[in-house]
Amino acid sequence: MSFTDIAFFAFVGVTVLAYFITPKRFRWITLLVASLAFYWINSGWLLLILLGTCTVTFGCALWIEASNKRGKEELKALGKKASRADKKNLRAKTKKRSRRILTVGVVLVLGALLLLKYYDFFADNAAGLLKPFGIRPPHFAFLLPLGISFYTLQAIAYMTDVFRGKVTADRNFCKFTLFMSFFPQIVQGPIPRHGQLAKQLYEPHSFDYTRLCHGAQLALWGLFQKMVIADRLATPVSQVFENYTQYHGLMLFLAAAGYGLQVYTDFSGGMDIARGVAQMLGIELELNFKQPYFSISIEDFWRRWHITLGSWMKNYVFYPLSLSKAFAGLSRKSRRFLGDFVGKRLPPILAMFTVYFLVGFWHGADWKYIMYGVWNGIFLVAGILLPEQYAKWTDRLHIDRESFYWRTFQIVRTFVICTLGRLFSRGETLEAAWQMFGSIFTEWSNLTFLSESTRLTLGLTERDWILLFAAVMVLLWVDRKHEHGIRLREAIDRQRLPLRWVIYYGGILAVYIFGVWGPAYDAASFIYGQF
Amino acid sequence: MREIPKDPPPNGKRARTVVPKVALFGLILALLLAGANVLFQPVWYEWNNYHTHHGFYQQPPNTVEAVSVGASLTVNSLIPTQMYEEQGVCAYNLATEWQPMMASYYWVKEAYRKHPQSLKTVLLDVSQIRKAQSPALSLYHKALDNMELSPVKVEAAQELSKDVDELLTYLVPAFAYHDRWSTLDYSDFIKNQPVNSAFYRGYNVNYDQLLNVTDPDAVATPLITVSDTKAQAKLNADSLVYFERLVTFCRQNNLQLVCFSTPTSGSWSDGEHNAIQSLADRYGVAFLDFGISPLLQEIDFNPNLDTIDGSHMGYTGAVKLTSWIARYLREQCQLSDVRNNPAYAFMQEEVTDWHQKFDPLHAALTEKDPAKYLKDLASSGNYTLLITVMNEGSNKLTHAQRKTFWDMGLTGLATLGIRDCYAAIVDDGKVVEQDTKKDTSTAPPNDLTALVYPPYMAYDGISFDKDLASSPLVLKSVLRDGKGVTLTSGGANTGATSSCLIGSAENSPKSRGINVVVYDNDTHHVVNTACFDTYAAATREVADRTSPEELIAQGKPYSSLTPEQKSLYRYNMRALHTARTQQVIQGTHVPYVAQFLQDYAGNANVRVLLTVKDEAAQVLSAEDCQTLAEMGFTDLATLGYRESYCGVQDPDDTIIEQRTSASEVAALKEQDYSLQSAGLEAGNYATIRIAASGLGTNHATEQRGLQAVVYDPDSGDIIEKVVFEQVLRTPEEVVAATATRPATTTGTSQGVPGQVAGDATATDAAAQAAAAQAAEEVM
Repeated sequence: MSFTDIAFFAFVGVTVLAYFITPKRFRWITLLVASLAFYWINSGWLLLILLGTCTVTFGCALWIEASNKRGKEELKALGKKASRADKKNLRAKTKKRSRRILTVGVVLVLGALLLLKYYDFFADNAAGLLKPFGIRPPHFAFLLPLGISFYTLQAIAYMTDVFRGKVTADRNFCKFTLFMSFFPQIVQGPIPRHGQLAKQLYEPHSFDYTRLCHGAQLALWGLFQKMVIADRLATPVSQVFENYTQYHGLMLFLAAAGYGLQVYTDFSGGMDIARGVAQMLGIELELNFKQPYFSISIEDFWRRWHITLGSWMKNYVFYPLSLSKAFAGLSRKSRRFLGDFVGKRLPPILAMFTVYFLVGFWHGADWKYIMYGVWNGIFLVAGILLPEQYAKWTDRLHIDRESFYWRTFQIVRTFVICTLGRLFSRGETLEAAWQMFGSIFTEWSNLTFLSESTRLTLGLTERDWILLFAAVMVLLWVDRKHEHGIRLREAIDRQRLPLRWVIYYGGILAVYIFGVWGPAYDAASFIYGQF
Repeated sequence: MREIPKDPPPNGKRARTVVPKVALFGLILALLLAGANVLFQPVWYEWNNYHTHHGFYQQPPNTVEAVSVGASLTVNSLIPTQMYEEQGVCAYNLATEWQPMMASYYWVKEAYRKHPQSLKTVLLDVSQIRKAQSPALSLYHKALDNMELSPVKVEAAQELSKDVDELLTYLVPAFAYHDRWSTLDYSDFIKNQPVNSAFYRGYNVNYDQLLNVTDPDAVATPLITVSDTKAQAKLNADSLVYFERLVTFCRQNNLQLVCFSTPTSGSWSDGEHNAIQSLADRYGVAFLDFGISPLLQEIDFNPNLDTIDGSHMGYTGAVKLTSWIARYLREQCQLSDVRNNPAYAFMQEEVTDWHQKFDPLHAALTEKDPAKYLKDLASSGNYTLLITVMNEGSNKLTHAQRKTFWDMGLTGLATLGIRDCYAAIVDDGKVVEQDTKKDTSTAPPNDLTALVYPPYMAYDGISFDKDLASSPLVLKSVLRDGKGVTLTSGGANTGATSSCLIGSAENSPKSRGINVVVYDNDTHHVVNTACFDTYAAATREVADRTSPEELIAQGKPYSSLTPEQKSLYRYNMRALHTARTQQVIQGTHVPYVAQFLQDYAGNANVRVLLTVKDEAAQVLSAEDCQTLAEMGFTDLATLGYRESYCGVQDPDDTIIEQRTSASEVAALKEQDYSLQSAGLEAGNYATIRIAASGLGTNHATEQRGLQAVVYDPDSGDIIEKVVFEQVLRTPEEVVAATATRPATTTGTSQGVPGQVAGDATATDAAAQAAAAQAAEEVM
């Protein structure tokens, strides 16, 4: 049951109805039942793996909290007369104990992800090393539970937050299971923080007609992005990437740009559907995209793209790493040997590289995804190392860094860098990606893509191309309005009823007619739903 | 426990405004989606699909007595209107293109739902049961999409669907076809205008004939008889399931199920017949197999004339088949004659509509005069005529023809000058577009006027100063159904071309003169094309469809037949002898060789050449020998075991023969031909060479037996080649039969038909020497 299936919307309708007719005290149970039913319908017995993760996480969090509490009580028992050293020792002991529990929890939860998603990747790579010893690791091709990449990070964040004392561990396993399995966000995020989502899920929400309408509108906009743009783009993009040797230069670049747009509208569309459905139930999910095509640098891009993943990486990988004792030691040593400039920046650079290595790896068990992460890491590191150089260059060239043209240049530059990075994430293999990369820079003269025959061989009709262009213009217009802080749904609310309805009917019919769905299309599944 | 806040009390005022608003929003949305459904539902005009379903629902309830279901073979085969006219049977043809058996079953159920009190008989075309491959999903849609939303349709859709999404594609057309947004054209917006589809009653009129597109020599002959009674083809498993369900449904509702197979040339096998027959026997269902004898002969089927492609019936074939089946329905299925039943008055109206629509078109097929052709088709039948002139079309136009054109409003055609370009569109009698480009090289206007314009015409409105042609004339327009049409006309000096593009499909005959394409506005098909070479003659020649056998029986020689008739004659003779061979194989037809020779004796002015390779005495039955002897083939009638033999039946029916002993070669040589025969012991070969086709070509084959080649001495056309190889006597019988004949000595004899020869093998040393000489030369 994909987000674009009729069955999903029937399911949402029934859930919304059931939620608001359930007595308030039990509304969270309605959500839990709906979420487990949704997971069961989509994944069957793989639900047990999710429940296993919930059990481990729930138990570890309670254990960590108990450990922390015990530490506090012991500290209290020491009394005021205890020396600072004793207190420090006790705190360290408590932290160590809690960290061990956290480690157990993380290992178990992450282990499931690594086993199910990455085992074959490791086995393939190990096979080369083990070949001389005559050992060939077996292949398992495990079925991947729905949303495992998302709920694993969610579980780790929760346990860590409990460890850090930022949130209180849930006492009700069923409520915690609801937090982990809430159906709009289980498929492809956003990756929620317990403090942000759990309370909303557990508390009852009253029926609000306006909120319901807004939620439906957001979901409709998500469908438009996914079904009209992303799935339509999938055809030409696949044609080029799967037959990349037949295309050259600008064509490959355009295909990569098309893929970027496809991923954006696919993922952002999915997010809007999820957020819209949640909103209908009175729950606000975190924003995951904030007009990434208006980014002026790669750093800015990652602040706008898959925001909850970036936030997760920052809180649970980057800071712990860069602030760790090991990195502090490294910083000290490197300052001594490499000077202040490098020594000061080395820990964040290494942490940054680690983060983007993991981001790439999280996207898929393949070297091409790792390269995708590294590609982004390179530009982010450049952003750390070279800001002063940038400033000097622009000053020398008398460039007004606040001007429209410079900003446009920055947006285009970021777009080009991101687009080239897409070659790695979408290329059939890492080798194919490199080949395409080379071709883009060496075979620019081929402009056959402009001919009608070439356009038609990409699997879309002339009318499809025109529609696609118009839809992308609408998307950019909406993003631009959002960029300027205009809340479109509220703006629509202020219009007179006939105009409002024309907009609603237009949106519904656009998806109904122009959407890539039904037997005539082999609709692409959500790209991020595969992660 | 924490206190849960209660919902605020319902705001009655808000509810009162929200609920109607939501209801209205939903209603408008439902209307918009319903509109989208109608818009995106494709209309299939191929094989008359649209009119079949549309017309079915125009029938008054409880009137249809018989329905036929099946694939395109049946769509083109059964004419319910004719059934009514001939036998008073009210039938409806519900077959559609490649209709899956599953859809056939549900259409029978639908027919019964609409006509439970009148429906008595179901005619099932078995072509889908025998097909190895199940139809593609799209064909299920084609077959079922136009069924009304009813419990029957829901049941059918449920059976076809794996999930709700798929189910909805059958019940809500836009679910399956919303992708058509990119191919919608004007025709989609006007497709639901009221159309009278009832009188088609599911039949798809097609006046094409295989003869027009394929050389009859390349057309396979029908199966005629089943030679292997044990062979059983594998039937389609999916179809069998629904066949069984159909049988059960018919039994439960007292419907008589009759299976039938349409005649075909070459695509029907022993195994298929046996398997279907066995199936029909198992379920106690009648099976009418028109693919084999005797029904094949009873309807006088000729694939060249009666089909459009060897399998799908053309109009003449449909008339033959319908006539037989209508009689069967009345006599065997006891359907009533409803012609005088007031409840069936609508049928008379349909018959009238039918004739109004198709009689002019039928007549146009043989119309020679372009003016009459255009006038008749323009005045009735709801046709659009697309006219282009190619090369030169004015030379032989008569004043009467020009007047007719003028009266029709085709002023440009009425005043057509030498080598002018001209194109016109006439829709249901009205000239909607026409344009002329005058040839620049022709005489000045005044001379031209004097040359071609009759005195009663007014020319004031025609300017000769403009539109002088330097390139072909192109006329673009849109047909009533929204299809784009582009007509191109090029005079002799401007490309000498003609084109009639409807959409992207070329339809023009592209011949010199007036080219006409007839487009049916109701079925959205081109139903006829014609070319009148009015440069060469005022009227066209129309192919003479008189039976060539009939002409030959009347004394016309083969060489005087038209090329079409010659082809048809060749095919007919081949089909006749193929059928006879099959009968011989089954032991039901003797004499065999003698009848073959009799078929050509005294007729057609053709020559039959005969030689023996290896052994041929065994292929002659006792009856053959007797008849051959009566015909004058004395040597052949008394042919001994493994003896060599050459024979000729000349156009004047003179018979020349040479038979030699088993160890000698027989040979006959004349200026026109050369024959050699060597029995097994004499060398085991045969040659038949004809001077007209080059003596280097040996028309004999490597097969054992009596080899015959029939040809036209005037043109050298080979009419038929046959090898008689079926063993009808044992060697002992041959020896016994030839024991009493005079001792065989090599020689040539001449026989006279009807006179039994005495000693036909008289020794003739000279002839023997001549034969040896001939053999040597040919070798």
